Amino acid sequence: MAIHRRSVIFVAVVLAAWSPSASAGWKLISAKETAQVDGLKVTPERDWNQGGRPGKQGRVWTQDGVGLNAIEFFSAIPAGGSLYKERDKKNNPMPKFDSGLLLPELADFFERSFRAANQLSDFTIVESAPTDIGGNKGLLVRYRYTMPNDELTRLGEARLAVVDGKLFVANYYAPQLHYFGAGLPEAQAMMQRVRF
Amino acid sequence: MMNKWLAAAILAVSFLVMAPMAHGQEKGAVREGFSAETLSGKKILLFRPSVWVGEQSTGGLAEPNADWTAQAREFLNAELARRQIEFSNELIIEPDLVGEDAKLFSEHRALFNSVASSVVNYQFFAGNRLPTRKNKAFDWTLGEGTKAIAERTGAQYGLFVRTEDQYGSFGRKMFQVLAIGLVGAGVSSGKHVGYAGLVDLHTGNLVWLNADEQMGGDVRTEEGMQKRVGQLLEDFPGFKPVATAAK
Repeated sequence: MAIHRRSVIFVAVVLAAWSPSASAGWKLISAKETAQVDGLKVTPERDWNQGGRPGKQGRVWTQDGVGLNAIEFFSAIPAGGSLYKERDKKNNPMPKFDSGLLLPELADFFERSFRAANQLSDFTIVESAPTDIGGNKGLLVRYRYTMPNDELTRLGEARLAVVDGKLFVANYYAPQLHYFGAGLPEAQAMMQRVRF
Repeated sequence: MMNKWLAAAILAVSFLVMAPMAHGQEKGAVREGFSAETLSGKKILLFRPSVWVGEQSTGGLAEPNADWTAQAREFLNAELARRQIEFSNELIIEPDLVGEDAKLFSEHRALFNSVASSVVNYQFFAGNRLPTRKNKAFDWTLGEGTKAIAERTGAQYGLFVRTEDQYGSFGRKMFQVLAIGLVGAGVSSGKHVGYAGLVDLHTGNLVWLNADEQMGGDVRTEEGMQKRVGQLLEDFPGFKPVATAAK
């Protein structure tokens, strides 16, 4: 009986650790209509597809699949909360947001979070500068990275702001070849026009 | 007590058992307006194939095997060379380059893999199709960066080939048996992905794609690789008519 139970537990645990790559449940976000994305209001120029949650308070949108272009919106992450879901708590734990972080320190928080979420060893912040996000003072982070076992250079641009002690983030990323530049103007416009 | 554990296992299985189905589709597509006649008289550049061979651990993680990969690459190159005679177009091989020129080619190979993966996961697989891709034409691109490759090589089209094979380890196979025996779950063992795609290097547009995430042929053997290449190039529009008829 005990052996049988251990076998069942083994099967359940391994299956639970096996993350499926098929995540259905895409929702159409129509062009030029304001979409409520948790605590944010976003108005896209083109149709987008809204997928699952990369973190408890986040949503991802894509045009052609998240490997080719994606924009993530994270709303009102409280102190002690994390940007992304835990991937490997033991070896690479997800950083916790501290509402006392100064604006420049958000770049480091973002880098550690994005690295942990994507299991990255190659990630470089290209630029970090003050910016405006939805009428609030924020931080712009431009970055470059490659995914494990992939030669494709990818670029990203994130905007982070702390409002009433809570963290708001918009993050666009895509392969450097063609896709990043093709989607950047609309991504920037959405990030600038976002309303809390 | 036992029922609780069993229920937990069944719940986990019922949530996850659909995953392998996402990768069980063989599909090909041709861009609107493209046909074998469009290819007539045009040079095709054969990009260096992307080959990865390894083992799938008990938990489903991929572990590379350098010997298998090197051997599969050798078999693949030999088989593609052997089949060149069947192509109706002049086929040129990716030149050996260094520095930025080499990066131009390697990054486009990697981009093709990402684009092909997107096509399979977000358009071909109906259960995960993006709403913006529903009932839409086959319209995917690598972007106009491919023009630089056309200028360097004189080729108008680029043929990309990718294979990725994970052979189930002993532990994975045992797990598969356990999962079926204990909870009736169909757990996959091994992964055999193959993409072949033709790109118009002047526009970057993908004009033909054959993608299968459950390919046949053991790429660690010569015969297996022959079968794999046969599947990869099935319906390739650039074969001589006589070769097509003989298949």
